[in-house]
Amino acid sequence: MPVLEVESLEYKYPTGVSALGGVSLAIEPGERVALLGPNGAGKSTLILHLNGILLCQQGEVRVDGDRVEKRNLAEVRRKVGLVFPNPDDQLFMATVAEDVAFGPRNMGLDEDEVDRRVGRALEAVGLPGFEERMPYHLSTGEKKRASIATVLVMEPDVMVLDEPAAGLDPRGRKGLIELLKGLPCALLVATHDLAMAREVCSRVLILDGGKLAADGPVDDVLADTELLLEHGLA
Amino acid sequence: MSQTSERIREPSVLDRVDDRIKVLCVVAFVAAVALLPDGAWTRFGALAGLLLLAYLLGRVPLLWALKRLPLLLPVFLLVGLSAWISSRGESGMGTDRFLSVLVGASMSLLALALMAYNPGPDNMLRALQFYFRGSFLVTLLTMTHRYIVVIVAEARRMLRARDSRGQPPRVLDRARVAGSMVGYLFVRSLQRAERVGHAMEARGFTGVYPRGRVRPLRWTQLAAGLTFCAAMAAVVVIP
Ligand SMILES: Nc1ncnc2c1ncn2[C@@H]1O[C@H](COP(=O)(O)OP(=O)(O)OP(=O)(O)O)[C@@H](O)[C@H]1O
Ligand SMILES: [Mg+2]
Repeated sequence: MPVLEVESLEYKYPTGVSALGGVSLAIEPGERVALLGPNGAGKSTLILHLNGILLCQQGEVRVDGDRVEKRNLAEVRRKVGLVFPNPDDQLFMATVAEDVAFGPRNMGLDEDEVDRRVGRALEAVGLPGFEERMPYHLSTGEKKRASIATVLVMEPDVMVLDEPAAGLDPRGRKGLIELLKGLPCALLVATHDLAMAREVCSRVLILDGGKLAADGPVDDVLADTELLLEHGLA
Repeated sequence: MSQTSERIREPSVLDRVDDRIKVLCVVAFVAAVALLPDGAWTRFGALAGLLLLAYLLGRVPLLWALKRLPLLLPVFLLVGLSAWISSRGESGMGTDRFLSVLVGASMSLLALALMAYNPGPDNMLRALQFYFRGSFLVTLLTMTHRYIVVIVAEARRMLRARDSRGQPPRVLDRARVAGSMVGYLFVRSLQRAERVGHAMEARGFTGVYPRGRVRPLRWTQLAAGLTFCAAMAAVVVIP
């Protein structure tokens, strides 16, 4: 059974902008999927639906076969982790350790377990020893890693990252790719970085104008220059 | 705002007091100041001395605190105004009352400024959460603090961007720029607040800050805190 399914999802912002016009997709456990598309395609809007930040107006999202609704949000948010594009939005506590602990504490885990998980998550993203640092004073790359740790620590089944490579220097980007490759969960990565998509993912979705324009193996989709040109990706 | 908690300083006597006890003492202190009878100048003096002692023990720069006094300007004006109004009636507000309110307000503010310096806003909020777990007011305060930090950071970035492009020569144009910046800052803060809110929700936040590990309160600290409260009560009650 897919861990994450989206069916005929439509969404119109209160301003009247129709951002999603019937999107359907499914992600299997452990699968690595890239979400490509030009600016304004609706990627971020789609992502906000995946753990119930936005609730479906039309269609539905299912996590582990359960329809995402108000009543099961806590469960859904434990299983689907979102990493937001701007780490300054994601990191809001006084220290890195507190920030990483925020999710597990909301899950009601006991403090020993929280400590263990925080240590493991910081280790996994390459920030051991950063516990007491202030999030606002980290470098962009470190902030990115810390943001990933804040979600990884919840041990989600799927991690959804919105533009994780934005603002990183080449080394930071390379490090991020290695980090993503090593993550244990399924991944959905919205990005404009085709090379990263190729390295990290096995499957690619192209979203344009709120509709899916392609869904296939990474090598096939990225080899189709005409398709990429048509959707402003090459 | 965020700077206060990052200041690196040598540990002082004040740092050895549990943050929760500090908060308790400040609340007792402010209450005592507020309850002192008008014109009880000896007792006002004693409490002021105590406050000064705390500043010295904590090695808090007094100038830093005094800079916060202008925050009281509205209070001064309000008290002044009501003093003036009631002085025209029979039961005129005496000079004693007027001065007592002003002195009391200043001392309370300086006590709060002390908190803002040590333990700093983050720890102070954490201490409040210890006493009022899940209270709406504490969550509100915490959010306010969080968003003020965000808005100040946003304003700094905008000012820097403006300065790097230079100022328009005409004063009127400058005023217009300032006006639209305020509006823009408001919208940007709202958008940012929304995004931060999303990020919090996405990690399971439902309105109450998770408590985290609660260090047990040492009984010596608690005893000291309660003694301080008792002393405060005595200052008020004993004529
Ligand atoms: N809060 C909002 N209110 C109104 N319209 C919005 C809002 N957020 C996005 N939109 C609109 O919805 C559409 C989809 O935007 P979205 O942010 O999902 O695109 P995106 O694929 O993430 O783009 P980018 O690659 O630039 O991040 C755009 O036309 C955008 O203008
Ligand atoms: Mg986006």
